[in-house]
Amino acid sequence: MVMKSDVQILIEKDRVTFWHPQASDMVPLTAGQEIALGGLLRTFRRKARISGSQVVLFVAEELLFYKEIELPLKIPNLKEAIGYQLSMITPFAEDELLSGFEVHRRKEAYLVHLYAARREPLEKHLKDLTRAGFQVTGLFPEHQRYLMRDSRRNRWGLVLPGRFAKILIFADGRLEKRLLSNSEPAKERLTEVCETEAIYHPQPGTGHFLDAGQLLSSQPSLKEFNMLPASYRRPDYLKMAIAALVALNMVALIGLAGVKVYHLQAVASRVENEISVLSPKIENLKQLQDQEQNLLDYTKRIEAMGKNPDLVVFLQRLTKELPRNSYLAQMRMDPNNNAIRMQGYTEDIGELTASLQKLGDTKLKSTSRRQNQTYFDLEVNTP
Amino acid sequence: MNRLSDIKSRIGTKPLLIGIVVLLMVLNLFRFAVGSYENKKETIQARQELLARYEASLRQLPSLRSRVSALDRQKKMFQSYLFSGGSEEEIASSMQIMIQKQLVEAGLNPESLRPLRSGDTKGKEYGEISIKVRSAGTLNEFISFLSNLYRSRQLLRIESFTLKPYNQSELKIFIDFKGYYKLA
Repeated sequence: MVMKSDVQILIEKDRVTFWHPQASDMVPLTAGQEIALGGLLRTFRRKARISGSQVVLFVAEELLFYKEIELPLKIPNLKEAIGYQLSMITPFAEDELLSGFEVHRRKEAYLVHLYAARREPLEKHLKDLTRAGFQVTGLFPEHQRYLMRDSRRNRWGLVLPGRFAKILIFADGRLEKRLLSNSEPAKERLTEVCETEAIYHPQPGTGHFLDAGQLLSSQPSLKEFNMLPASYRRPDYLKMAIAALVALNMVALIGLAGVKVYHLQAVASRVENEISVLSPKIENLKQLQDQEQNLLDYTKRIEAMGKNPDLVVFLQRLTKELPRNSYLAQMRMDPNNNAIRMQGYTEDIGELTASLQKLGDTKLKSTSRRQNQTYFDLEVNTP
Repeated sequence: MNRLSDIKSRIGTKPLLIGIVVLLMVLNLFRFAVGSYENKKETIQARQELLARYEASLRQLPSLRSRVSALDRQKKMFQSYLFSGGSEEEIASSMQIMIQKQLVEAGLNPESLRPLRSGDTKGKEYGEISIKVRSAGTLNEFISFLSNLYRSRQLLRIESFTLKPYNQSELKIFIDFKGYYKLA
């Protein structure tokens, strides 16, 4: 993982280039010259006043062996299968090479882009840098310098000049194809081959190419073809941290769910216990409610029987209120009726009815006058 | 679509499908878990509401007990006023004896007492016997009879009565009683 302060070192056949957003320096090499990268880097850092110890190495495409191979889809372990074939498909012995590959799955087979380089002198450089106290974060083919995070969705081409011009076609942030050409093709031809107008060149000149230098303005993604031996690789702390966080989150999520379920169970258990304690009392309550209803019904039926009329008071008051010149021939109370009917005769029917009104609502049913007397039939409703 | 086909070509159809199946399973599992949790929560809420109703009902238990007790006392009191005996004939007889005694004690002259039994007491808490009484006496004696009757601890209801003058100072008294009883 390249941080903002990482220094990039591009190793080419005849020179080494140190590059940092703040400065760059180029050290020419002569054939057979042995260089100490650690010391050179230290000098570059001092001159450019750059802090930080992380460095990423890029190897010129010319110094690398590239091959595209196809492998059947049925292969269970691609890494193992490619490892077995490395010595056969590269010009290097198995223990003398550094390699990096990427696999594209296609309908009919896996397409493998393989980069390989002779272990020496790259490992010597790695040792030298490590000894000098630098942390090498990756060893990539040169084209990875230009593969920016921003250009992931675009289709674009890159021309890297050399003894043979290398034309690299990228799509969706990945290397799609790598072509070699004896001579550098014209822009029109490249547009046709690459199927895009966006073709970059480190030295654009007048060939109407885009300047590859502008791709260096932002951080390279460095996702593919890392050839750095495992012994030099730093553990990916970010991945580990993410994995740990994911695991922690999962544990927290499961724990939270567990706590919620436990809480729910506890509440359910408490409620059930309380209900089971109250249930006998509720049964008792229901029985009492039924009993109350039965008793109320019973009381209603008793009340429906009716009560005895207060005849004692009525008769005492009648004796008191009946006028002297009035006589009763018959007094009668009918069943289911609080009215008392009286027949008799009087000398003054007006006085009689006025007196009897004090006993209750008095209704005169009939009167007849015979022998100087008024015979009456009246009804008094007792209160 | 291009993006999807690119993802498909990168990952491969089989792993992609397995991934989708696993994702769907995880989502379904999550949905099932959430659904199950919500169901459990609703069940517990319903039980809690039931518990609250139980508690509210039980707060009424003491007052309900006292109401039932009062109604029960009332019922027992009513039943204590009922005539009681082994058979309807026996009860009719005791009713007549009681009325006869009350009439005589009041000074009335009992002329006839005639019981009319209803006979059907099935499904009733009490039975009824009608008694027709004919007697003679003064109004004061009749009032005295009524006073004694109302004070007695036996349930006799006056259904109807008729008073007619007789021999200048006396009355002919016709009373229809209804007496209530329970078989012992």
